[in-house]
Parts: sequence; C-alpha cells; structure tokens
Amino acid sequence: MSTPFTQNCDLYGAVHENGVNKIITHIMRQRPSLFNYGTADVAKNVEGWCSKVVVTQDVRNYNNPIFTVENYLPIFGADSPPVGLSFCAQLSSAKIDFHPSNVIKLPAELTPPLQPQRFAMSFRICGSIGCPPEQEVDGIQPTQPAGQASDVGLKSPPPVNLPGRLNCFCLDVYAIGHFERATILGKESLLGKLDDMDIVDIKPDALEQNIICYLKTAVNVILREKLTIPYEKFFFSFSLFHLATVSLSATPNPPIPNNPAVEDDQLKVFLTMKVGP
Amino acid sequence: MSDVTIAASASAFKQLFNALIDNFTFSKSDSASYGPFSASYSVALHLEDGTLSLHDDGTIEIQDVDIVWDTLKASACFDLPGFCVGGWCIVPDPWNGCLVGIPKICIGGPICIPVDLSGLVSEITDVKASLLAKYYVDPARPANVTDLAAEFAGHPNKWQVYIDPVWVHVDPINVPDTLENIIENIIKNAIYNMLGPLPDWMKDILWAAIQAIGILDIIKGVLGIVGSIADWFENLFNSVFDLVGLVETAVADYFANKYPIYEFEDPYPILPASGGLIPVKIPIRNLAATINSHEMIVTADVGA
Repeated sequence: MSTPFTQNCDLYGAVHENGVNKIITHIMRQRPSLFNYGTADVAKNVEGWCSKVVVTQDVRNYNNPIFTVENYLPIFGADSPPVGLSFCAQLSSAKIDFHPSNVIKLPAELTPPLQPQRFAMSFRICGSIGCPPEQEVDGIQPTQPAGQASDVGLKSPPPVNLPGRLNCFCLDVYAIGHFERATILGKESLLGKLDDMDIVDIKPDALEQNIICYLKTAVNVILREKLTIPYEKFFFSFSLFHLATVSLSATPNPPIPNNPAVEDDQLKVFLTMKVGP
Repeated sequence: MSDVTIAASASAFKQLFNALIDNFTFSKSDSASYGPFSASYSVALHLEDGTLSLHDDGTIEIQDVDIVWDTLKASACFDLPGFCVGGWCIVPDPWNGCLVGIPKICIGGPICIPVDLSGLVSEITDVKASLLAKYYVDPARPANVTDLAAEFAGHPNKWQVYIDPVWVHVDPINVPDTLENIIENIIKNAIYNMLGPLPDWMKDILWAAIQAIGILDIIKGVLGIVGSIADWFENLFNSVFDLVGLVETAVADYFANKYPIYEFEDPYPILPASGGLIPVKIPIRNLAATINSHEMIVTADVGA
C-alpha cells in the first residue's frame, strides 16, 4: 500500500497543474478585467483589441467589464493642456507547470531544468500604444501653463486625450517561481511568487531587463493583492475549517520539509489540526 | 491522476464524526389504539460518545454510541372493568346499625398509566458504513437559470459526501425493574382518585381490599400482560411503538441524507464577488470519496 497522504499531517490538499491550468482559464473568462487593461476608447472598441477575449455568458449577463479602464498614458512635459495617449495591455494566455517540468519548455535564460519545488509559467502579453493622427496633435491648442494657473487658484486646463490606431505587439514571457505561506487579510494563504523571468526576442538587453522588472513586479503585486489562495479555498471549504473546536495550521518542518510543496506536478499543502475544548 | 486530492487523517475524520454525532437530534410523538388499550408516546433524544474505526475495505465502523433519551414518556390508557368494594361496618352499633362503616364504592372506567423514563441511556451498538459522494440539485432552484443566478437566488448545486450506512444496530430500550413499583404506585394513585373524597385511612382500607381482589391481575388481564408490567412497557417501547426501528431509520437517514460530512458549492467560488464583479467559480467534476484505515481521500477534477 502506498504511503498515506496524511502520514505526517492531519489534512492534505493537492492540486495538479492540469487542474490549475483549467482554473486559470476559468478566471480569465470570468474576471477578464483582471487581465485586460486599456483606456476608455480602447475598451469600447472590440475590433481594436490586441487579443480576442473569451468571456462567459454570466460576464455579459451581469454587465461586468472586460477591460479595466485606465487613465490615458501621459505625455511627459505636456501640461498646458496635459495630453494623454490611449493604450491596450492584455494578458492573452497563461499556463503553469509544477516541478518536474513537462508542460513548458523553459528558455536557456532561465537555466532549465526547472529546479525542485519550483513552478514554471508562460504567458503571452499583447499591447500597443495608440498612435494619434498628426492632425489631432496639430489641433491641440496650448493654454496657460498648469503651474501658473494653479498658483492663482485657477483650475488646470482639461486634459486632451488622443485616441489613436493600435499597432499591437505580443511578448512571450517565461517565468519561474515558488509558493510561500502568507497571512493575507488575516487568513493563512498560499502566495505565488515569481523569482525570475525572461522575454523572448527583446533587444537590447537593458530594455528587456526593464520590461522584465516591470512585469515581474506587476505579476507579484497582482498575485499578492488579487490571487492569494486562502487555505480554506484550497481545501474546498473542507468541513474541518468550520468546526469551532478545531484549528488548523501549516505542518512545520520537521516532519514536512516543504510546505507548501511543488512536486509530482502538483502543489501540495499539509495542515496540522489542534483540537480545543 | 485527479486534478484535486484532499485527504483527512483518521483523527481529523474523527472530528468530523464527532460533529456528526453532536448535531443529531430526534423527536417524535404519536398515539394509537391497540384494541383493549390506547397508548401514546413522546420521545426526544441526542447522541453522545461512540468509537470510530476506519478499515481498508473502504468501510467505517461506529460503535457504542450513547442514545440519551432527553424525553421518554409513554402513557397506556384502558377501561378498568367496574367492580364494587366496601359496604362494611367496622364498628357496629350494639343496639342497632353501624357506628363506623366503609361505604360501598363502585369504581371502573378509563384509567391511564403514564410512564416517564426521561434521562434513560440506551445504545447504538454498531453502524457499518461507507462514504458516498452525491450531487445535490436544490429542488427550489429556479428553472433555466445559470449556476451563478442559482447561487444568487440562494439555491446553488452542491457536492456532498455522506456516511452511507450499510446497517445500523440499536439496542432495545431496557426498562428498569424499578418501574414495576413505580407503576403500582401510579395505579394506586389512580384508584385513590377514583375513590373520591374519603379520608386517607378509609382509602387505605379500600386499597387493601382492592389489592386482595387482585387489581394488578385485572389490569394485566385487560392489557394482555403475561409477565411483569415493566416487561410489558419494554415491549411497548421496543416493539409496539418500534422506537428501536424509528431510531435506526432516523440515524441511517441522518447519516446518508441529512448531514453531509463534507459539502461545497458547485461551481465552487474561488474569487469572491467584488465591486460589482461576479464571483469566479470553477466547475467540479467526478467527485469521489474513499476511506482506508489511515485516512479519508476525496478526489475531483476541475471541469472545462
């Protein structure tokens, strides 16, 4: 007989990478505004999106936004009036691969093979800055500089937003990372963290490093703010979580060397139960 | 390999079992006529303690669970055949008549024997069961709506894991022998009431006479009692009222249909609704629950 899952713990939970990849697809289809960002003009123009977005019928039934509408990209130095450009940024696909790696072929920059207790991710980001027609730029009427206007208590001139034609590009991004335990909003949770990243075919290297820095930071911040997994959710609200006499906490090392563990193509969590009065 | 695997150790499963036991209550009352007598009962009970063992053949065995009868009351009513006692002179008048006499009293008619055994403890000796995963569709779910609309209406589908009993054995209620004396006193009090407003000493004399007639035998005859009255009440609880069967059925139904040891919505919400955004929910498929001597294992797949 194989070793019991709970040989060194009271509650064991594991999710296979196949399941996680299906979950990622569900999240992208049901919470599209987490993956699609753009200015109002872009959000309204379905034909102009850099990547087609598939959503569930419920998203439409409940009038959920497909894009998170962001402010126009400011043109630095322009303040009389301020001028903004439209943009579109979309995460169009994402996939995860738990150690041992067998779903994603990592680029050499990420020194394959994937190390134990690590996961690999690949995702595609598409985007564009709207390039305004020249006559729109020529039509901007300069006003009183903003600094001088505010000095005398006058309102800043209204910004001029310049919609433009999107000329989309896509980046194939690879990343490796690990999972940590964290207390988020008072709940013991699982937190994914990217350790390293590579973008295919971007030169010069410094530009790549800058984009990587932005993307890695953005992903880690969004994982922390929006996509932590409380243990209770990880265990599908397992009944023990609702018993007042029982408290659950992560099983320490020893006896569990890695908790959470990324192994056997799965993300695993081990919990120890304490029974109170 | 399944997309999701969750396992609970034997000691964790024991906690689920304790919650299962702690939440069980049962109450019932009923009455019926059984030919020469009618009877009613009122019972309420809860469960305590018990031992649990998990087996590699996929079964669970639950033993020695106390049935605490918070209420265990019954009443048997019948018509006492009429007869007369008394009419004696105990201090005759030397000249004529009687100075002190016991009047002739005729009694009979309806009489009830109430029995209250509340607090009695009996036992579920053995429950053999396996785990059963069920998919529950709320019958109140509105027709032709999405899963999300059903959730918003408070009627989501659910996956449930139940303990599905193969058998439930409940020990018969054991009526204590002391009930015999209690019932005699109850009958005595009922007869005293029938005797009306007589002085106690006079009632004592009449009661002695009634006992001499064999009142208990008369009552036993009416009720068809062959052995002791305590045994008859024991039979009334266990066989006539079939409280054993009722408890066995209630426990089996509770385990198999009323109290899932594990339950969650399908599709399962993994991101809550927020700022007007709908919750993100994932469909769960192929839920299965098994047990071995070490743990309970629940597996499932994420639907496409």
